[in-house]
Amino acid sequence: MASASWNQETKARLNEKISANINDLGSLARQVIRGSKSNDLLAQAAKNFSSQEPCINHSFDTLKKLDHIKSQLEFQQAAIERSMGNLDEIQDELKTIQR
Amino acid sequence: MGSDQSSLPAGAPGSTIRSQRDEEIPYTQFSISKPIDGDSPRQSPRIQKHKVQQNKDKESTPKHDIVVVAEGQAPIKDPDPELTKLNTIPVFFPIMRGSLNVPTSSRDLEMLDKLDYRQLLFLCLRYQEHLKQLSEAVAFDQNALCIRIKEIHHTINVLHTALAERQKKYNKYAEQFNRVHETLSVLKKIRLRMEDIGPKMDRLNKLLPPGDQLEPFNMKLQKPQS
Repeated sequence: MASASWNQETKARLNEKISANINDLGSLARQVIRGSKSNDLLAQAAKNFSSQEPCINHSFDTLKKLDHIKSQLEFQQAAIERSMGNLDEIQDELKTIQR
Repeated sequence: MGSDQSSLPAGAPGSTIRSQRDEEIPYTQFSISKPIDGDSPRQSPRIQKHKVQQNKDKESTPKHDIVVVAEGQAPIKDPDPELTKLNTIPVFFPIMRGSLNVPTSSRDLEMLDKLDYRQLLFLCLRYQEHLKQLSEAVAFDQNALCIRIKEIHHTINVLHTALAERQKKYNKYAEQFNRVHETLSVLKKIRLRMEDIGPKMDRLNKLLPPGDQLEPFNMKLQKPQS
C-alpha cells in the first residue's frame, strides 16, 4: 500500500530535494575547479605554445634550405677536387713547353 | 466504471447476481441510491421496480448464470512508472549510516551520526591544491619547451647564414678552378700545334738560302720573334 502514500506532493518534494543536492554538488565542483586556476594556466600555456607554431615552421623551412646548401657544397667540393688534379697536369704541360 | 455488474451486491437492481431471497426486488434504500450503468438514473422507486422487472425478463434465459466468487489472475497494472524505476535501483548505504532509521543493532558505536564539515572542506581544498600543482607543472614544461624552440630557431638561423656564406665563397673558388681548367686545355692545344709545326718550320728554314735563314725556333718566349 505504498502507492497510497506516494502522491504528487511527496514526489515533488523529493524532486526538489534531489535537484537541490545536485545543484550544490555542481557548485562545489565548480568552486574547486575555479579555485585552482588550472583553466587559466593551461589556457595561457596553450596560447604560448601555439604562438610558437610559425617559428617552428620557419625553422623547418630553413632546415630544408640548409639541406639544399649542403648538397650544393658537396657538388662544389667534388669539382674543386677534380681541379686540384688538373693543376698537376698543368704543371707538367708547362714544363714540357718551356723545355 | 459501471462495466462490472458483479461488483454490485446481489440485491441491487443492476447486478446479475441473484440470491434466493430476491424473488422480487424490493425498492430498498440501497437499490434507489446506487447508480447503475447509466441506463437507469435515480428516479422514483416505482419506475426502478419496473425496470428491474424488465431486466428480470431479459435474463430468464435457460443458460446458466456464472457466479463469480473470486477474480482470477488479473494483470497487475503499473501504478506509477517513477516508483518502479526507483525500485530498480540497488540498495546501498549512504555515507552517514546513522541517517537511516536507527537499527538497534550493535552498529551504533561505529557509525557516525554527523559529518564533520571541516574534513570535507580539507578534502576539497586538497583536491584544489592538487589541480593547481598539476596545471602549474604542465604550464612550466610548456614554457620551457617554448624557450627551447626559440633557442633552436636562433641556432638554425645562424647556421643557415654561415653555410650560405661558405657556399658563396666556394662558388667563387669553383669558378676560378674552372677557368684554370680551360687554360689547361688551351695550353695542351698550343703544345700539340707547336709540336706539329716545329719540324716543318725547321725544314722550311733549311730550304731558304743561307742569308734569309732565321734562328732555330725555341719556346723560351723571351722576346717576340722577328
